[in-house]
Amino acid sequence: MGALLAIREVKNEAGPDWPSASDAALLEAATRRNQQAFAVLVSRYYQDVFRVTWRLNGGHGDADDVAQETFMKLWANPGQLREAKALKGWLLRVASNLVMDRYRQKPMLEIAAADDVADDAASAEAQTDLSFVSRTIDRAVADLPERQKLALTLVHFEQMSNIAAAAAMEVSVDALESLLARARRGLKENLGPKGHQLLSVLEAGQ
Amino acid sequence: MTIKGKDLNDLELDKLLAAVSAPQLPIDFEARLARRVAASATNNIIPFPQRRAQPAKISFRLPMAAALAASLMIGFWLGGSGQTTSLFEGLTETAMLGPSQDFAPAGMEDLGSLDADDQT
Repeated sequence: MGALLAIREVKNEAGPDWPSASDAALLEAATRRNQQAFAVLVSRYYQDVFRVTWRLNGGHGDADDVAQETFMKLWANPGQLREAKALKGWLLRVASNLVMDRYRQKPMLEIAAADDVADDAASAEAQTDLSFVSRTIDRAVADLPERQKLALTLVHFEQMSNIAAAAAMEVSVDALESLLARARRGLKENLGPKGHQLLSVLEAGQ
Repeated sequence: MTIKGKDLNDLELDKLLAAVSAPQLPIDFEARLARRVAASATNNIIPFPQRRAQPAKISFRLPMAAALAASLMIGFWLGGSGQTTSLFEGLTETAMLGPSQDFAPAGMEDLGSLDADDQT
């Protein structure tokens, strides 16, 4: 009963204005099992985490589960973060590791099946559709090796600086730039002449 | 106008990358996570095991106390009547000197008969 009361007290702990509190203050409160402070952290970063997991998953439905699992890992031990300013990078790193672990355990059969459907639908009429361009680019990005895909996602889609992305991936900036260069080269090669067709469709639709 | 038959340049690739799909964020993500967090918080409470009431051990303690009291009373009685002296008379000497007055180890008297010349 005493423990229950203690948790209830922490949960309702009268703290600062949580939505405007710093990440460090929120993390400290989360370490004391304050659920309100943790909820603010979640609302602050769940969109970033979800977008990255979705991109790494190739649009797979597991992105939601992975994002939830990422935050549960943070909730399990918020004190494991040495610096609060590295929170976003830590979350994205944990999320990407979870995606890669799941990918190793369960190959993306459902994604392959979805690709087959997309191939069937790729009629001449569909090729003029802008959504076809998006799907084709999505698939080209999804086919990249995991590390290259993560580097491209963080820098290009999440607009992170090279330094922040390198920190999130725990690699040097040089290594990150190498991954980015290889990712872009791989995309160009994979798209090949089709890339120009897609670009024409894109320009015609704009 | 794009040039066909060649790979895209960086600018063209950036244009295509800008056309990637954007995920639709799950609406109830935060609510579901909050429920999981709340559930994990309550699951972390491990109650102390309730200690069972121990049955009284009167049946064992009472005879033990009676025996101790009786031995104490006998000790007082013996000490007061002076019978302990007669009880232990002779025992103290025996305990100190041992049952035999001969302390010499057996065979020690033969050592004197040994000569150095006899030794090889």
